[in-house]
Amino acid sequence: MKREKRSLAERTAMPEEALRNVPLVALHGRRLACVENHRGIAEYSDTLVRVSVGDGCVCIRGSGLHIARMTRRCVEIRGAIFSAELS
Amino acid sequence: MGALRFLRGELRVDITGAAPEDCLNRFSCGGVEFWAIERVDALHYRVSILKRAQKTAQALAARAFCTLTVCAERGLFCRLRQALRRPVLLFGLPLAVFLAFFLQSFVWTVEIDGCEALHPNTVRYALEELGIAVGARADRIEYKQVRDSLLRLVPELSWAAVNRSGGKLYVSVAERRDTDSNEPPYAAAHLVAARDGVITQTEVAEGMTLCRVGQTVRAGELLVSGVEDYGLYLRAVCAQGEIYGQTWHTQTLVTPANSNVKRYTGQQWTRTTLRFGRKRINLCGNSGNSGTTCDKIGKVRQVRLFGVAFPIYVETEIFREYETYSVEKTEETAKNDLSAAFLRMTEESMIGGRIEQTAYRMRCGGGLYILNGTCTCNEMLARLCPFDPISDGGTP
Repeated sequence: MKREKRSLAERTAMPEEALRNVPLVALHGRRLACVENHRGIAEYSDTLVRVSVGDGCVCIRGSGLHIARMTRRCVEIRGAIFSAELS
Repeated sequence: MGALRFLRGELRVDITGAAPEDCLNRFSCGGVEFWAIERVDALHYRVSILKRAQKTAQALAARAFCTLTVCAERGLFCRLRQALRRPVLLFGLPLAVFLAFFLQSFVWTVEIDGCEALHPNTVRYALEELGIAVGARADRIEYKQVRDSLLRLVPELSWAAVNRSGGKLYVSVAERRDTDSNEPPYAAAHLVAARDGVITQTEVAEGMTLCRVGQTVRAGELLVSGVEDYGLYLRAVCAQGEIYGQTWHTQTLVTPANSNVKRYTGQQWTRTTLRFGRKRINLCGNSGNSGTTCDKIGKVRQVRLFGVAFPIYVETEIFREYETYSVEKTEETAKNDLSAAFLRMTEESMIGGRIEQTAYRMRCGGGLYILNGTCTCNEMLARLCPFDPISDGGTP
């Protein structure tokens, strides 16, 4: 099934996160980070937000961080973002 | 979005536990919509959720080993519930809405605009005669009829417009302006002598002159005829001209030797009255003057609130008590008073001209001062005397 999906994504040139549950991290400048296809928040403080994704965690570091919006699909983190890393 | 949430109702809840972020994860997985996430500390988050999701959120929080406490509630139903707890507001609100619509069907103020020489009260009284005053039903006013009747009742007006805005009636008027016209006042008129005298000056513009300078005339005598004789035919005109003559005026004036002079006793009191339409409510102060003689000084103020004038007036009247005592007049004072009155009366009786010479004779008797005044004047003698050229045949 995975092979079929991969081949389908390659064949149709569709984004992989649309077909598979791979995480997508979007940074909108230094004020907003959006993590899609997450599996929940692992840690939340005003300097670090760790969001669980399929195979690890996305760490957003910064100051004055807060979760602006959270749905089943994505988490929006606002604040002064210093770095975003996949661990 | 905010308005939609307000209609659906929302709760502000506190999530307390070892891992409140786990609670948020469960909310997102469980389809509980939440927003405005506030991290109070590591063990304590505050979020907003929909009111209808409260039970689901409670269950999900319990599974994440967190407690969920409602700290605030807002929304339409919450507001209605709060309003139901205030009976005065509950009854006051519909009453205010009802009054706002009901009171507009009455006239509460009448604003008159455009009066220059005419006093606005003249228009106001005319409107009252037509049944338009404070408290009148506005929907029964026939504006066109009122306008026509107003022009008929107040002949000084040439134009009027009546409009209403809420409980306020706007009456705009324009006064009639008399233009100076060279047209004579009558189609046919003679000039006759107003009193006995000797003619000193004649200037005739229209009509046939029947007098000359130096001629003695009696009151009512024809000076300039309005019938012009051209030999073959007669033409009736309005005689115009200025005929001056020397006249004599004699009058006897009397004044008592003693006169009453006013002296204030120092007693004074104030009365304040609230006037609403034709109703008058005495607010404070004595309503009568208890039979004593007193002067009254009145002051009227209209009640205004935020620049809006209401048909309510506060009248303040100050009463000052006085008594009179008798003072004997000197002959000099009496003569001055009487001679001034004589000159004033003589001048008022003349159309034009001047007083040239005066002579007085003063006597006192029976507690009276009597002045016999005589004066010689050079005054306008001619007066217009209209006639009908057909029926009168030119006879004044």
